[in-house]
Amino acid sequence: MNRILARQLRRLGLSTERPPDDLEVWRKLLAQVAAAYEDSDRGRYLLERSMEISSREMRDLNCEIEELSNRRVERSEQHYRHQFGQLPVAAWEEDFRRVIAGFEELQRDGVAELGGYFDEHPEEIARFVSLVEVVDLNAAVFDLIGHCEREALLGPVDASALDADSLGSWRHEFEAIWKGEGHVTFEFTGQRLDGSRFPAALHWTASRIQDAYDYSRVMVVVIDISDRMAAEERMRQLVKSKDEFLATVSHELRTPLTSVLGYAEVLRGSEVDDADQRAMLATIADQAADLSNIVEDLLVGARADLGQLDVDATPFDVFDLVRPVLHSCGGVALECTGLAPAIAIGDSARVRQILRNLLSNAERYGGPHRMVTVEAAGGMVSLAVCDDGPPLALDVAERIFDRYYRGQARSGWPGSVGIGLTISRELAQMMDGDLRYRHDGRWSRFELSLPAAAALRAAV
Amino acid sequence: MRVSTLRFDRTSGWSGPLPDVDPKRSLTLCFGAPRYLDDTDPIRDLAVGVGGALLGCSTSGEIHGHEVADGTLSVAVMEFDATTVRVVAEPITLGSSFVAGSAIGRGLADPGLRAIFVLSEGLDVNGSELVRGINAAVPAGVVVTGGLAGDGSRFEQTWVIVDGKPVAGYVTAVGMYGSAVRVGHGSKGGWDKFGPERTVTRSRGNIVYELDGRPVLALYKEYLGDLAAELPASGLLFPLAVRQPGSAKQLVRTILSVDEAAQSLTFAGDVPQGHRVQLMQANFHRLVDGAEDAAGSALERASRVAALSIAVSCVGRRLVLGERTEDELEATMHVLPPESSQVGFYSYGEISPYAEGSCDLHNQTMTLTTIGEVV
Repeated sequence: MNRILARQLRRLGLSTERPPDDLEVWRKLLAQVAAAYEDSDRGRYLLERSMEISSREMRDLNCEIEELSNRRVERSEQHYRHQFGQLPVAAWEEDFRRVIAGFEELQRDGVAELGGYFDEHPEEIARFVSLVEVVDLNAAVFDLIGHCEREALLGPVDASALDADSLGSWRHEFEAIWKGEGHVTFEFTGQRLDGSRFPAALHWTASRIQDAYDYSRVMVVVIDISDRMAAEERMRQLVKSKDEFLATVSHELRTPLTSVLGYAEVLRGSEVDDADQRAMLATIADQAADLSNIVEDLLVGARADLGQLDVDATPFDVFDLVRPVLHSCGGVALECTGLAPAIAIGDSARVRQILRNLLSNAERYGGPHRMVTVEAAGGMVSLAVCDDGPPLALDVAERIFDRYYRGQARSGWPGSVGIGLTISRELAQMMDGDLRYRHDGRWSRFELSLPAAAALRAAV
Repeated sequence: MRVSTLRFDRTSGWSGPLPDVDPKRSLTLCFGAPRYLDDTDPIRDLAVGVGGALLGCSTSGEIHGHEVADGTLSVAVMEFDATTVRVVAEPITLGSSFVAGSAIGRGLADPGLRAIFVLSEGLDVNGSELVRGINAAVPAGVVVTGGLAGDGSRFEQTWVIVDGKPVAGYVTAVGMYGSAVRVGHGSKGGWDKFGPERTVTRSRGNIVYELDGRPVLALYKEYLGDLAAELPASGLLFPLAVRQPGSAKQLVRTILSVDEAAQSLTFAGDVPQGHRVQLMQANFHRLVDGAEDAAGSALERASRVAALSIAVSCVGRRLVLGERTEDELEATMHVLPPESSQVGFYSYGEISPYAEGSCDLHNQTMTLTTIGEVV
């Protein structure tokens, strides 16, 4: 029995077996039953009302959610389109749905492996390429391949213009789809609209939507990697030069060190007469001076690289500087044009270093006759180290000032480190001057120019 | 275990002689009208006449068997065979409720403690903090039940018995020790929830202004439709189920008043901002069903051993049920074994474990505690 009715009967002392004898009890029972119905009606009224309001609120909420969702989707789409359009690299979207339909046909025909199929039927790659449609592309595409009408690039891909390399790149993409992959990266040779080629990296990415790749809008990004490859080449050259430099430096240091050590051993271990002793000591001193010069050049080069190289700017007489150096060289004529003394502004120690380098180069690589000229003209003092060797080839004349570049030394002379001319030019420029090479028909001339002192400048 | 129940009213005096029990093994419960705070003789007579542990509080209606009365004392005297009891009391205020609860718990926490029945000042108290304090101090598994003293429907002054005298501003509790005692508990509401759950977006203390950004009064009226005309008188019929976000535990808050100008509702307990709430409605028969179910639960937990049932029911239920109040008391008695006695009171808050977990303060429930002994 219903528990409410059972309770009502119990409270009134009634049983289910027979109706009440007392009319008053019967009335009470009816009143209680009526009250129970009213309770029930009230509850139902509230419930129905609540359901109606809830349904309405749900409807409103659904509308709000839908509207919000649409707005978000629209915003996301706009955001994506904007980003896509503004990408600084060439990007386009490709639709592979017709390709997939073609693959399904192949699978129905029993093709199990696409690579093997393409090997047997290479012409099929072009057919599948023509099934791909370009659905969108950004402005950077035109920067990459050249300018044309946007519509010309949209729609089905024209496979007839593709060379074997390009078809090979498409094959990567098809095989990725066949395997159910969503991302492929490879390098290939791209082709511009004007037919020129460039090394390129291609990133092919399909979005993953609900656990499956969406091949209807695959993003393709192509990057011109010419700069990267050139940089890699430069890096390779640099490493090579560095290795060669280290080998040369070792060799350059070892040659005078061998002489120094050899003569020192002789002087220590045996009886040597005075004349030989003086000659040996002179050689040791010369070789030690060479070592010192090499180390000085290396130090200057290293400081220049670190931006820690300083030069003085004080007046000095170039003749006073040149004479003792030439005296130690012997056999080099000094020629003066114009006024003497020739007062220049600069760092006399660094100018001495430059002069030493130029004389050493002339001795190693130049002709048998050498000469130093000093002249003042045009507000500059020019110090030239000349030799009567043949003129340098044009490309060599460009490169001799490059770091680690070394020319072919005269027979019997060791090669140089390949840094002397580089740092000499850097030092000259730091003193507001310059170092240049030219051949005047008779002489190969390495000309160091320095600012003339004010008094001299007024005179010339 | 023997149980004697008695009633006292000023017209008829005691319904029978005070039982002769061993004070060392006895526990007397006395639920009385608020007026006995000033008219202390009957309680003093009870304390002196019976002796032993005495626990009691003021009510919003004294329950005796399946009857409810006002202006009386409803008394149960238990004499245990093997169970021992200890009574403690602590002063309590709104701000010190947790501390008082902890002190009560510490005062009773001894090996062998099986159950605590607690009665507290019903107005200047935070019931939730009180039970939190007790829970923090007693071992898990100790059954904690009880209620907050009532003051009819006046909400002015309540009392509990401390050292045989009714006093305001105290919480008192009895601990029951030993393996023989069987304490059961059951707590049911019987209210129907309707409408979607909403978030309290603006409230201050127990005043709610907005749910889901909409004025709460307008929302209530929309849902109540024609029945909204009965507000605020019908406010008791439409309490609010409140739960903390992330928790499934719901408490019921009754409407105390309606503010048309502010479009707000004032509830009989805090409704914090950010909590989730759902409208409820009273259905008389489901309330009585709830009481019946509470008795069934209590009996099950006590392995059907119940010499005494202590009924603590919310004053809100009495106000809703009106003249049909005794229906819920009859319903509990109908479930209890025929030899069981029942005393209790209509309260300002019921304390019992939430399902099998730690105890909590409820609103609008019928909470039953059954006590028996197996020797």
